[in-house]
Amino acid sequence: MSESSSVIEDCPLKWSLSARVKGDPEQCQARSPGVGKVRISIADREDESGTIVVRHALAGKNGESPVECLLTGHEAKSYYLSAQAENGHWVGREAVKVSLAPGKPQTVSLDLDFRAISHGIIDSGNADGLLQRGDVLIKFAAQTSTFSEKVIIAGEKAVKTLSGLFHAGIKKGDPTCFHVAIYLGEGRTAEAHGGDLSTARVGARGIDAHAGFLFRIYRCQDRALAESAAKVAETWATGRMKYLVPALVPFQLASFGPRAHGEALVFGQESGRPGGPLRFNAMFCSQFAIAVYQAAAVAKQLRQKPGMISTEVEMPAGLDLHASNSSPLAFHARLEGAPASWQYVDEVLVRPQQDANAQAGPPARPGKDVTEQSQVLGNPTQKRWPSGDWIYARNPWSLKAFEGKIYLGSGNSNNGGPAANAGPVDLWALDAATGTFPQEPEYEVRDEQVDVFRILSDGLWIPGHDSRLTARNASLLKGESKYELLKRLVNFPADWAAGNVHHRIGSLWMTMNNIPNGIHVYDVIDFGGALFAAIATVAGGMVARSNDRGHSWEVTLTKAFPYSRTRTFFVLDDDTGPRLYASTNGGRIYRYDGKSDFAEMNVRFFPGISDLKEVFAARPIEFRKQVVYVAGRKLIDHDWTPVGLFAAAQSDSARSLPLPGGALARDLLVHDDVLYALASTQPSASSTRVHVLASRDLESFSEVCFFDAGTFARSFEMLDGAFYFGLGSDPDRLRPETGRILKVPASALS
Amino acid sequence: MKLWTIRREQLAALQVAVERQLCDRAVAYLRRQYPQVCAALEERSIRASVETALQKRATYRFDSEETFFAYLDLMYLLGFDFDRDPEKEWVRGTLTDFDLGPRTRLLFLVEEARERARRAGQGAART
Repeated sequence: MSESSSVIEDCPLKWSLSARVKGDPEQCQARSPGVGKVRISIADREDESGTIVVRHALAGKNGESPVECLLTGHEAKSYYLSAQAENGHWVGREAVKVSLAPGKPQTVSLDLDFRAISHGIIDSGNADGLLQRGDVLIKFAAQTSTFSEKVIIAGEKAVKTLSGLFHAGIKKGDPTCFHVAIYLGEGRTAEAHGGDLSTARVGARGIDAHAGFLFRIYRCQDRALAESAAKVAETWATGRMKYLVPALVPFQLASFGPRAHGEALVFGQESGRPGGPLRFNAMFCSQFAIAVYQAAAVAKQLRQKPGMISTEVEMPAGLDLHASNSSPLAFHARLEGAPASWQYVDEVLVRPQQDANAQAGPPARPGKDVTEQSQVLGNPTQKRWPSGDWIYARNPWSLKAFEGKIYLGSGNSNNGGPAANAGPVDLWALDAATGTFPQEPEYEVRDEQVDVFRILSDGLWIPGHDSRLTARNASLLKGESKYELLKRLVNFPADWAAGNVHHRIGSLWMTMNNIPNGIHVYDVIDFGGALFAAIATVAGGMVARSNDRGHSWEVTLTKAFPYSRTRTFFVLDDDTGPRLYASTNGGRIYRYDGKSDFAEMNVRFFPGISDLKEVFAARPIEFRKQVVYVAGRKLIDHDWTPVGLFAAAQSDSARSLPLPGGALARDLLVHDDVLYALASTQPSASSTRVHVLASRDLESFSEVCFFDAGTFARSFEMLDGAFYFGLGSDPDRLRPETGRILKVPASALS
Repeated sequence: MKLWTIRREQLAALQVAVERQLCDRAVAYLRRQYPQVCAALEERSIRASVETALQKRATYRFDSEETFFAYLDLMYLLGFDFDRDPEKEWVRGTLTDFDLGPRTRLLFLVEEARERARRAGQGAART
């Protein structure tokens, strides 16, 4: 024992702060990692903006770590403790406040919750790189689950709870799995699908139809059987059989008994019948997947013994189930219990990474690979949002060069997670000359999110995405207490009464909080000597107009109804001169009459996109008397995912601009009469390629450069010949690189 | 004005006395915890193992009595030279991960060592 420790340990005034972390292994899905090493942040401020001390814990097999002393001291002090596993799968429920007083040791328990994380992204373009014919795809719940999917999940959860009573082995399955499909290759699946009950059938679909969902992939180790099953699936999935809602199936006995043997024999006998077994007019998803595999297995046995009777049917491990009684949960549990016959491959997110009109795009000709030349300049928002779901708020929604600096958007104004209502936002500005961020942000933007910047005639403007006048309150950081919720509800009137615009005048920022009912201010533009703001109010989408640079406003309705939103502005010339247009959700376009009203245009502004319900024209930019824009589809609340690139010289002459190789555009900029598009592709499930493409005429695009990264670039900017990129991530696949700012110097591009 | 001065020599003498008492407690702990192993060892061998553990405190940054006893547990479960045994490579990563506190590292390893010993015992019983 050291000299000093024996003296200090005996000090009666010393306090000690100890902690243990705990994750419930029961929450953990099969084959997912345990808690492992956990990072504990000890912050002296609630919003983690002050000093943060980091300690680590290590959880054993029971999910608990030993109690460890983290800090000692003598003066009374309060700290906020939060925890997250380094593997990202376990996150602390909420920050724990600890008040320490002299002479009093304290021990806190930090509870962790499990969360699934996809390991890659697949779409119809790259699926063959990961999936093989015959793979069984088990689909898990997402925010957009349909009614029939929710029915299945509810039944399975009940069964899981009661599993010890009457469903042996079911504990291996995950009750949030609700759908099963068979992979056929080339981005297609065969399945019994019931998303829309009016068209529900057993048929083939593109894997992109499952956009936004997680799949677990199981691969039959008997490759001949897998190929035979894929052939049966192709033969049966013609659309003849309807979809059966398996509402009560989770409660039926799925064991491979005499009736199951008889059913499997019928499947084998009917394996080659187009449209499926004659006596089956409908199937549900797991029934179909099990049936095609059983059909393939039994067909082989029948070839060796044509007169075989049902009691002689033998079924490989993982398939020994009564197909008509087996829910996705039962099938998943069986596959998990047969690792020798069924290999678990991976868990992936399905999301199309190609333009909706990709098939019309020209082949890609690679530009310069600048992966090695890209420089990491920093991640300034990481300090504010270091870990957990709060990573999402680090998304650099926009980058904008202004007076030698690159301004960086961040935050999140979605009311649901991840990173719900993350404001006020620290406004960071990179000094482009030195390539460094300052020690402190330039301004605190009193909104939940800084989404876009606009350079207007009198400087730089930020539309107030979601007013946050009430003080920074980071108790929301790890879940919200009832008290905090109540406080926030009380504050709603203040935050909703007026929307903001933020304006940089000289070297100072000014916030004007006076757009009536402008809960969300999405865009600002100069037009006809007035300042216009695209806003959303409780009454719907509106436009506000100011004749005194934002000091007072008049509002005009565009798209009425709650949750309607005016998102962006653009200007196009017609015979009468320049005309101002507004884009709202629902794919609608409105034109300003030059006086006071905006009238809806009956135009097809997103050709090739059939579902326009949550689509608007994002990132509109004027180029050669046309407007170029990204079709943005709502992903969560305000945030969007790109589905295609378009251009229009007139509102009724919009056309798609598919990029080479089907690359998906996310951001646009114009520099020296060249239009640059920031785009990405997903060459494999685990690798994203970021492209910069250029066009002088909107007829053809050439690739300037590309680099490979762990995630996509959400925004980009060009200054003095160099490109700057902001790496982002989507809410269902948060990436640690989120918020990282990269630079590709001009020298790397020559 | 100094009220009280403790000389370095006095502290050293105090530390020797404290460590002697600690060694006595450690030997008693080992005899109680690992009677079969200790029965096969001479008293001076057991004391030598305790001396070895004392010397490892600085290397592996542990200093409480609890973590000291945990290190002894590892010696008696895994072998006196477990920290240098190439077959016990799994220990080294955790033992030298100084991000973690000493209690976490040592108690985690003891739990793991006991689990491995239990599994090895089961395996031996099956064969």
